[in-house]
Amino acid sequence: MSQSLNTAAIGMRTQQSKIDTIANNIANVNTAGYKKSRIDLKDSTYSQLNVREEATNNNLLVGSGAIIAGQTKFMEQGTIVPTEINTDLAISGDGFFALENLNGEIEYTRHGALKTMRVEGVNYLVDSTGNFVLDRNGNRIKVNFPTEQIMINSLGEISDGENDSIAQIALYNFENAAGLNQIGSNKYSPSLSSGLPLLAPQQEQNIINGHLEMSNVDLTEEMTQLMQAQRAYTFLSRAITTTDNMKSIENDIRR
Amino acid sequence: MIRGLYTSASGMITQKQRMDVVTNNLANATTPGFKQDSLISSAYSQIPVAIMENPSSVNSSNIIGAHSYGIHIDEVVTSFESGNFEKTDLKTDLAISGDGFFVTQTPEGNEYTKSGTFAVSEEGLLVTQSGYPVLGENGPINVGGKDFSIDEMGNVSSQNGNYKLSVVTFEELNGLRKQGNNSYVAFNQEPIQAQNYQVKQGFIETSNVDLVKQMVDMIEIQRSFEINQRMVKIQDERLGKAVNDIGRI
Repeated sequence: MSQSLNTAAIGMRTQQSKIDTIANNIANVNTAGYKKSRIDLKDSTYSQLNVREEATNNNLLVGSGAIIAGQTKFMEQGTIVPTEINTDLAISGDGFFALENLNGEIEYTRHGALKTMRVEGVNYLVDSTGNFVLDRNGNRIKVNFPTEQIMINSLGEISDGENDSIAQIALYNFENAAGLNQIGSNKYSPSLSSGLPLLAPQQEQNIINGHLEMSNVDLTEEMTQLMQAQRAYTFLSRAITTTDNMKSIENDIRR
Repeated sequence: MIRGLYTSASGMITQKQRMDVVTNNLANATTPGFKQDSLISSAYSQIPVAIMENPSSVNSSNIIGAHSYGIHIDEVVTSFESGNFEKTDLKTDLAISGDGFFVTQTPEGNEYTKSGTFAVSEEGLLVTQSGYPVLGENGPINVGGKDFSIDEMGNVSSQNGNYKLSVVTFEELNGLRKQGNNSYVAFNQEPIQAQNYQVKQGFIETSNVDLVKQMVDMIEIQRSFEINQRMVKIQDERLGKAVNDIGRI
């Protein structure tokens, strides 16, 4: 009897994680550069039912619920919206900006709301949380003119609009971007399954200046998924109630 | 009369086992590629009931009918009806419409699955979410990255060359054993090449669990369980009467 109680409980927990993921997607519907995730389920192990007499076939298996098979990340492009700010960059197509954080580690992001930050008397190009944006040689980008004059062309070359470019922002690609580790604040780090970062070919960088890439969350789809998960959750709680009723009948077998 | 007690008890046990199967179906209502199970019960073989006309002779019994000791579970049948197809636009999501299973290579041998929520491994192979390679007709499929396309017949074209997905079916679908992990193992039969199928890239097949049927079954299970319990109770009371009250003046 406790089999069906356990099955229902495990199923409910799994639906709960599904709802958690959907809630996170919905919460980030307006986060620039956010990529949605999905939880996939699989059926848990099967065990042989206990039969006393020779049955027609020996395929008498009963399952023990549903568990999480894995998380899938959707790396497809979000909508690109104009912001009219000269340091807002959106990447069209594949690619990630490389950022050096305060500990010197390299992280990757598609969130291109950049600004300048003054460190020890030098202006550096940084992202919204103060990590240094790197150029194609892996160096921090020094900007020796006012922020308002920054011009960034589609290849990522930075200039003041009059003189030659001072640096070119680097874009990196990954063999399997869906396998990147998500480390929060819209940033990713390479993992075994994503492969190593590969510098994009110089002429193939495609950066759109004055725009930001929004999240790729589709609210309608998330709501549908949420409703499905919630229904499944309700049905499982009904299964628990029924099992509980049966247990109490069993208890009162002589009454 | 004690025979009847066992018959009612066997009914209760069977309903409990049916409940386990129904709950598992409900738990997997959102598992891609899951196929619902149903439990079939059957009566124990009938045995003759006899009366003895002449108590002094064992051989003079007269058979007046048959009696069964109740029911037991007989088969768990998986319904291989197709689920719905949900569009995801993800290149690693595959679904088979019609007859057929994907083949995956596990350390325990080949397994078969309907759930095509695959991923690309670090070596560039198309793998299941547990990390087992999905097989083509000539072994694992090395797609290299996320840029690959698969047509309706299962022909894969990728940067690392062309492959053909292996899509198989079985003569006796009910001989397949569920293994967990959304997969099946073949039991005493060999897979045959599937003929009537369509591979859909960017879709997942949802589970085919019929929620309404499961809910109705659940109500019915609880009531049958209750009836059998009542029968146990009635028989208990009758036994009590027979033991304690017969012969009392």
